[in-house]
Amino acid sequence: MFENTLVLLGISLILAGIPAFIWLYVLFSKKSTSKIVISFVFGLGCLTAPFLLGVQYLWEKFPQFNLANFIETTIAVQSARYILLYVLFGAMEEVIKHFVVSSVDKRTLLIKTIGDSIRYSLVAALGFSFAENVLYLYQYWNQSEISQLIGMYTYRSIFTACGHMIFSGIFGYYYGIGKFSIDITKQHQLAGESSPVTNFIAKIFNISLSHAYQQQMVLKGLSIAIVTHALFNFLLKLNLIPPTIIFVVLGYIYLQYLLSRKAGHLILTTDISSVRKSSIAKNNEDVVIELLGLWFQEKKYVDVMHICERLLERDPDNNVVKLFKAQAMDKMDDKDTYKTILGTVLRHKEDLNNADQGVITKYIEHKEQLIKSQPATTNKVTPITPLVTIPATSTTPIENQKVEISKTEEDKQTFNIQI
Amino acid sequence: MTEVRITIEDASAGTNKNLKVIHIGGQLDESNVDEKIQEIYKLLETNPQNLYLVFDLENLEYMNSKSIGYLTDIYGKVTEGGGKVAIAKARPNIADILQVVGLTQLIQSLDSIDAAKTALAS
Repeated sequence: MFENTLVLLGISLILAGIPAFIWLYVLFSKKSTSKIVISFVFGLGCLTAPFLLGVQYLWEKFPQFNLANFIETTIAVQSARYILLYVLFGAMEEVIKHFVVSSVDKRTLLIKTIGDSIRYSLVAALGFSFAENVLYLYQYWNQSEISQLIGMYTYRSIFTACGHMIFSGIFGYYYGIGKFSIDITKQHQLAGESSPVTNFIAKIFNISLSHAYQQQMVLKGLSIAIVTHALFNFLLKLNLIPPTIIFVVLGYIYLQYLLSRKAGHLILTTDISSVRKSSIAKNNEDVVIELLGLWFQEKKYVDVMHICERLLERDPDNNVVKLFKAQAMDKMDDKDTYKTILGTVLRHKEDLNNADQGVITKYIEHKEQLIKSQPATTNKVTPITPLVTIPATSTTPIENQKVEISKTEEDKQTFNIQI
Repeated sequence: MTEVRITIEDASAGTNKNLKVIHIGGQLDESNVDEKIQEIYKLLETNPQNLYLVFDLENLEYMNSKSIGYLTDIYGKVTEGGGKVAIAKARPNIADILQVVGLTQLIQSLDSIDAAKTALAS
């Protein structure tokens, strides 16, 4: 159709650019992330696909270093050979995409929240997918029927791009957790969550627990990304389109879940010069944080949230406290709010007094605020006004009261408390 | 084991209430809190209803997270039985911890034992 190389390249760039632009718009149109930074990471991501082509070119020039060739010639069992080849190419793509994000982060402190780590990984993956699509379109334009081209273009634009984002996004999530491992490990220790794997790694390599946890998370993220990528390629190879689509949809839902976690929105990296000074003595703060750990273990999430609120007023940049608060909120989100509160702090509905209602209503209002403000303020946790503490066992009865709690604009529920 | 002293004084005389003053001195920490706190729980067992407690914390230098948990639990049990709790003469570091934890919103913290007794009597 097009004999001119430049015209063909131009058309390939434009066509591959349309879905990339749409994906970027979907992901970032409502975010305050700098467009220059996004473009920079996207641009570097674009370079990763040609880089891998370069590696394959070098393999042809120097076959003694050709890993694919090595697998093909040394593995006799066909199924094992295919699996290893899929894993090899999946690993190469995931490592190079991740390299973009981690190397930019090391130079510019790009990632300030776990959510940032996921989002920039998505951008790098989109860059990779864009470059790959350009190469595919350029290569197959004059060799395929128009219907085949449209099919390939549509499929690659939606599902392959989405697949790349899912693999990299999951890796980004674990990289983000690893990056903030010092605070997260401390919070885990206080909450009584000890991982035998982390302890084992720390012992074997004689490194700190937080360092071991970081390595464990990066390895976990890489492994999940490689396995899912290899599986995706395998399904594609077998032309199993419906399972591939289901696979991508499930991965997308999982990624959305990871992005929705409260801890993911916490700004855990701050400029040291701008860290606000704590107005509570360290010894006193240690005691209170220990208590947070104890009550978190006892699932007193409402009390944990209250203490965190007060503590953050005194020490606003304490990441461990921020993590406790976010995790307590996540725990409450996991189940029905009332059920959680009634099951952990108050034994019966009859125990609810006016103060308790205030707490619950404020919590749900806060959830509502978060939902409404998420597009604009994803990097910040909206501050809540201090809440009234719920007593361990409340005694003030309430007369037949009707408390209306609006969870969202669409979903309003009325909660009747009968004495 | 760190030293901690817990003494319970009956201050009911002159009032129509079952009022006790619990003097706690020293340091309540991991090494002693589980054992020493039992003295207060025994008091709760023998006085399950309408118990009025003043915690005199003048000589309490340190309390750990567990002891705050116990204090919260004791407050819950006493109020469940129709009683009341107050704190007297807490040092600034202790008062600060109790404030951040939110206990001072539940339990009155006063400057003297007499003021605490009066608060409970009202």
